[in-house]
Amino acid sequence: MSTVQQESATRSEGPGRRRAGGSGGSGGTGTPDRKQQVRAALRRDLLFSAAALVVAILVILPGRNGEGTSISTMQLVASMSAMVVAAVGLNLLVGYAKLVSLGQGGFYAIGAYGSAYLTLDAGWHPVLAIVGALALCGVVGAVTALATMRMRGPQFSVITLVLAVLIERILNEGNAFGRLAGYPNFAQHDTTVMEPVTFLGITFTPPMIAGEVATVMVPIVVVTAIVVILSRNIVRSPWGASLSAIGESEMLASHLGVAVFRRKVSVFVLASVLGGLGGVIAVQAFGHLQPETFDIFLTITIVLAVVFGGSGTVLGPVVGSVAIVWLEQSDLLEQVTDLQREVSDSWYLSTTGLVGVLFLLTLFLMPRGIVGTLGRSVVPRVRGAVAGRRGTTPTNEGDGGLDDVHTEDVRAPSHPTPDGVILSLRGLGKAFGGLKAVDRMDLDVEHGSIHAIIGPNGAGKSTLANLVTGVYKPSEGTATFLDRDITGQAPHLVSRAGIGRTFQTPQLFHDETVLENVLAGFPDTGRTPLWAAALKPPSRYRRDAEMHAEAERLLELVGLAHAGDLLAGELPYGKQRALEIARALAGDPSLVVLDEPAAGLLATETAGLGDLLLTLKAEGYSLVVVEHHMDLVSKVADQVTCMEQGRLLARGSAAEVLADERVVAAYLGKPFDENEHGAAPAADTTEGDDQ
Amino acid sequence: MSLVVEKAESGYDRNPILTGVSVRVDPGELVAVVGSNGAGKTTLVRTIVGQLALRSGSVTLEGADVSSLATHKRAKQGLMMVPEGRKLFPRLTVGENIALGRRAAGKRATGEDPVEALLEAFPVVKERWGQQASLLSGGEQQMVALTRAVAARPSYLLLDEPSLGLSPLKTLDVFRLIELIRERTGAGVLLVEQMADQALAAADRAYVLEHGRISMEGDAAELRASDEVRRAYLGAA
Amino acid sequence: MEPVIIGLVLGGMYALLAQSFVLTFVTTRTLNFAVGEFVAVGAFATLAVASWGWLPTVGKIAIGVLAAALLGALVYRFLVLPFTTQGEHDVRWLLSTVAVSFVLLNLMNNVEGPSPQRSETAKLDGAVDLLGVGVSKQQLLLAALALVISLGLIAVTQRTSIGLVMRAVSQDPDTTSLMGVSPRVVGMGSYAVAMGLAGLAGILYAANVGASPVMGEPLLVASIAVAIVGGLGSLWGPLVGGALYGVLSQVASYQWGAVWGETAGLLLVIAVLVWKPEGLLGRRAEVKL
Repeated sequence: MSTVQQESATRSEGPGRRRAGGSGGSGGTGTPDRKQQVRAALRRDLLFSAAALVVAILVILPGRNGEGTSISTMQLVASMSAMVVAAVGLNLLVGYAKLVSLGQGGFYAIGAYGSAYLTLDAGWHPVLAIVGALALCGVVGAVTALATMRMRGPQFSVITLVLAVLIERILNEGNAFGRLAGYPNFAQHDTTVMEPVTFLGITFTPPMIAGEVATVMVPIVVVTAIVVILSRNIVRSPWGASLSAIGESEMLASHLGVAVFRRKVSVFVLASVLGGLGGVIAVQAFGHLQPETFDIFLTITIVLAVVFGGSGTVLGPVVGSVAIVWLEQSDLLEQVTDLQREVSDSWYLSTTGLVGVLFLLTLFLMPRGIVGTLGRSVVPRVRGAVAGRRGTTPTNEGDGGLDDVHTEDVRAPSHPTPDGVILSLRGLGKAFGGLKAVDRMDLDVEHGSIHAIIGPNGAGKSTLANLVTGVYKPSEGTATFLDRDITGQAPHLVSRAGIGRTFQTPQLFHDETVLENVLAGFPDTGRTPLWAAALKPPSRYRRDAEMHAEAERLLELVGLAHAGDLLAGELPYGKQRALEIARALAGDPSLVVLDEPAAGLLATETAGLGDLLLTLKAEGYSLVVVEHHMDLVSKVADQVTCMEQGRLLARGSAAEVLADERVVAAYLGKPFDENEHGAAPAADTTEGDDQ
Repeated sequence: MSLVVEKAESGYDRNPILTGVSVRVDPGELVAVVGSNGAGKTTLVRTIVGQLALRSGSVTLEGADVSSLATHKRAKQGLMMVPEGRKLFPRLTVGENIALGRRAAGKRATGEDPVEALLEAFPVVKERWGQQASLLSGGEQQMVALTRAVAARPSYLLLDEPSLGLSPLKTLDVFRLIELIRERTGAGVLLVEQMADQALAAADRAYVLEHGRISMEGDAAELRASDEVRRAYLGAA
Repeated sequence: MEPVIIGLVLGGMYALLAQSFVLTFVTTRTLNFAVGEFVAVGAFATLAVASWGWLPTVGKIAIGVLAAALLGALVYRFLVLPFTTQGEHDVRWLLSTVAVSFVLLNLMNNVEGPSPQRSETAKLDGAVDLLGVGVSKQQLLLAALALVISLGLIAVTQRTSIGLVMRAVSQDPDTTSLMGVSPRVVGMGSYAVAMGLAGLAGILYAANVGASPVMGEPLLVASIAVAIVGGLGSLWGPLVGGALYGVLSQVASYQWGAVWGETAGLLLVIAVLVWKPEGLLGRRAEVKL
């Protein structure tokens, strides 16, 4: 009834290819295409890497003979490189994890001063000193991250700003760093410039003296290029997707199997190390440090570079850094200042003020930054073209969604679960303040069954669901899943144990496409290690293609085959619910908890949802459904538990529970009539008016 | 003198939702708008109160064009909305929530206070008077939200999915309260509902919204009996 | 004893500025990172009219406060509000207020020059003996004002209809507009009051250290720290945070030198936040699913 076939190019592969093979190996368009996909992805990545390295080498070509005239150019390139590296690091935090750190300047300072101090005063080998300084950045970053982990928004920004200010104070007022004399200085070191680094017999000369080739530029630009390449790999990997998930909602990320706490610490440490690397580059290029250059202005300039270029894009921080550094070093801003002074000699803005104005203009005119704004105007057109080629127009009107489910696309869970009880709650309770939301509940869910939980509002149904999935820690009792104690475990552990879920209000990544939303649901989001994300081994390419095919199958399953390229936020409510189910299934769960899946659905969609749930059950999934729609409950549920005021009111088959006098009195208002096919619950406003 | 929406077009940046919707509510009338998800029901009420900008068309209140007025100014003129999900101020008490409604009434607060009648009929609101709104159950919250809107002495009341997330029993209560409000305030009520059957049973007139357009309109009882509506919205086979 | 008393008095001044952070935060969920510059704006505006003999001192102070308040309302309307439209993750306002800080600082530097200028308008000479510790009347005035103003603000929010509206806006601006209240006007109002407070602090502080563009900068970090320690959501927070921060930093600098004073204060912030991210008196935001 609900699987109405619609003729379209993409659909043709629908029914014919169901369950064509083993785990995840069959979806999409078959193996040759998969290989092609892998090859295309590999080609794109190699091209990008090659381009990055070529650009890096091209920009230092003017200094190949060490001519005096090239020194300023090389210094400019070095400043840009330092800023690029620091900004790329910051972008991971600001652009993806949406943690607006104002402390990147502090790590830049630690990297710069740390490597210089370890070389000059501690007598370490310069290369070792650099490694040591970066490690120090990582440690300080880790401590800061641990301290700020539970914070978001302004609080987080303020703390990181405080950190940057603190570091600046220490540099300005600590005697070991020569204070205003800078570092190194005559009083302490008999010189104001650091020795060039010699490593493996090569001396890396900074761009300072005419006639000497500034050999240090080679490692500087190569390192910068590598940082950009690796950061691109990271943000396009499931690891990067987990950052975006954290940025959108930590609770949601955690339900996708991401160890949010650890991942936030990792990304903060990574960003800190890159900030420090920026500082190291500055020392290597200029050989001298002045504390007043590591002020708030620096830390804000790095933020500006990210925002100006386009936060949350790969090239944004690169473009932004290059533009900002060029602007600050060119005499353009001075000319603007002079122009104003023709009008008034006291009311004018000079460099910092003009940078402030530029910042404001960016926010007003290009809130997505240069790259983001350009990308926005290009990408939709590309997407349109792709859709056109497929012979479909992405549309959010019209059909699809849960009234168009393709139950033949359901595939059994990859880890078959044993028969018998798979989820068992014993005496589970949760009190908020004095209020017992859930009071010593027992519940058993059989393998391959649908267990519905009904009850009046505030009866504790959703709280119970949240206790199982780890949103709340129970105050008492135990929860056992597949013979594992999951009582009070964090959501990511529950998710990894094989429990997926959907939410009362759909929790989606609104600014990402439908397909990307499903991709985020795969276990990879929580499990890909950072090194694998950065280095992108061949297995990653294969897995990416596999995930794509699988995601498309899941979208077809819930009737969203045409919607993959739409933004999730643009979907109507019912389809958002469908998308959530697809994402939950992507996580390869054995048990799925659905919190009011039919709320706000149309009668036809509810019917489709019912078919889908029954098919999932038949394939071996176990389902817990919190629901108000009695027609759905009576159609699908093997067992029904009715709760009231946190306690069990009645339990049994749907027919038994819905006929129970207490349930009728507390909840239904009047007995449920199975012959009444209403989308509405079995109740009506005016007595006697019904039929 | 009515609330008139004329050829309204509105929506979100990349997603125009309403494409020319005309709706009319007369004083004292209960008008239902039913339709599927994404048809634009919530968009319609948000556009009427000014939370979403009109791209073209107009909203007139008692003959005066309010299309370009800010939301709070429309509220001051007696156009009240009870938003989807109730939207009580969670950390204010029930009494404070209702006091904010009273405050919005301003000069329109003349004659008998309709709130008293509601409190009498549904004493649960009064019982909870000093409690934080967030501690109330969904049904109780909906009662308070409706009472808050009534305290503002609305001339027109827009109700966005008042039964959303409520149990069958509480849904009954809410519909009874809506009846009572209509009786006591004489306000014109525009009821946007997913529960089409109940909404049509309660309403005088109704509109069916499909894909951002009005596809059918007329007497609520007739619509409720029509085959098309029964098939598409009441789930009848 | 001495560092404790001095610390409390200093903490009072921080509390006054912290109150301006809390005020804008509860009503608009934003903080003005340019508060330090508003301190200077108040001081300079009063300095500009200092020579007007016909105007009583109160009038001169009022002009300084009003200048900062007006500028604050405008900054909110045009440079903060437009950057708060994308929901709770939208922190563009944070960047725009930092930019405002750059612009104002630079402008004042160019107009008034970087060196401090004497400002005697609100100067109280002499000192009083407080439990055996000599405290300058000027500083005591600041601390007393902080206390009085905080208590006044608390009374207003708890007891009056305006206060009810403010609390409503802080919880749900969209729904407040359905209640006939313009969140924009409430926001502008609270920015005006908050920046007026910053201006007042500047006028009084300038009598001690002179008016200069950077005079607010050292206060900024301390007062943000105080606001965060106390909890950004609570008007009592600045009083508690100010006392704690003031005493701790004074005791530390008394014992180990000035650098450690500030460091200890900032470490306190980190310690408090690790323990209670929402601040001592703040409210934990609940995750709703």
